[in-house]
Amino acid sequence: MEEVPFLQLIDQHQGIIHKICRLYRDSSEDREDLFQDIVYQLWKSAPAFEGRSKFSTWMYRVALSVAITAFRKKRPAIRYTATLPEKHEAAEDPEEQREQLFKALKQLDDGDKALIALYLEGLNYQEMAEITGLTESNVGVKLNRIKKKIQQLLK
Amino acid sequence: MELDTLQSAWQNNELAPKENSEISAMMRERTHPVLKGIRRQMIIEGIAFTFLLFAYYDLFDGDQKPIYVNVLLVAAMLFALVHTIMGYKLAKGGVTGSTIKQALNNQLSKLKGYALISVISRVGVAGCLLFFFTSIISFTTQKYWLLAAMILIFVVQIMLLSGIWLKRIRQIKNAMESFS
Repeated sequence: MEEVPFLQLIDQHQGIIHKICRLYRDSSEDREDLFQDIVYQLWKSAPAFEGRSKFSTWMYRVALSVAITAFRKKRPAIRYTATLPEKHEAAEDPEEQREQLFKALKQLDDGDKALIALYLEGLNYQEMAEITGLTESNVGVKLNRIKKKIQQLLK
Repeated sequence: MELDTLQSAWQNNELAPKENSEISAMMRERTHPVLKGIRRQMIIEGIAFTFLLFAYYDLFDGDQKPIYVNVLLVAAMLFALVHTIMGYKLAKGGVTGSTIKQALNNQLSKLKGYALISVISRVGVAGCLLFFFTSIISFTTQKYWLLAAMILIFVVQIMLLSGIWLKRIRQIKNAMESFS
């Protein structure tokens, strides 16, 4: 793939990278490093992209693999409590909702984060199975468990 | 919060988009954050080792030591350099595999191999350096204690290094459980 079309595709789908970085890293510096690592690895893997799947599907596969395996700088650990702080009413503000969602998602382990990210993005079971390497029925079983956990955390 | 609300919260996550010029710069090896750090380490090690190779003969009485001891010192430096170069290759190599499950599997076996090389090379460096500096010493009790302290420092270092690698390997193994 040439550089110009690659840049156009990344530009169209860079929201995916932003979300993965926010999901897998806590500090803005770490997110920036991960963003760069993902872009670098996507560019390196671009010759292997044959266009058989959607660009966004391929991008999710590479980006999530990088986010899970990439080197993490040692930082003071951020401890998340088992439940989110009690609220008087459900958040109405979209940014506040996002904040709550990411707080809950960050409590999942790395593999579960990948599955729920694909679900939240609106991918179907077949696409999720294609990206992860799980069977479709396995995707369903695991997702149900993760969704229950998320709803428990957001109660 | 309902799952639909969560999905829309996820999908509408707007963040300051990056310019094409910024993304284009990120595609280059020279700007990669981890690779940049390893390159800096290689340069520092290279300069230090070159200086040591030029100076050890006079500075550390290399001329008075048997040839095999001198060879061991050079071997120690080579161990360290090869280790750094392989680390660079590992970081540059990136993830391969047609699914996340496969990518994690591949990365895990690469990491295990590199972790082994990393620990062996550190043991090699420590052993060669100790051998070089103790080869023509006539030992006294005090010097034995000093040697014991040095060995202890190296052992602690190697244990810490092994711990770091085990943690990284465990992290990937844990993630793999979600894909089994």
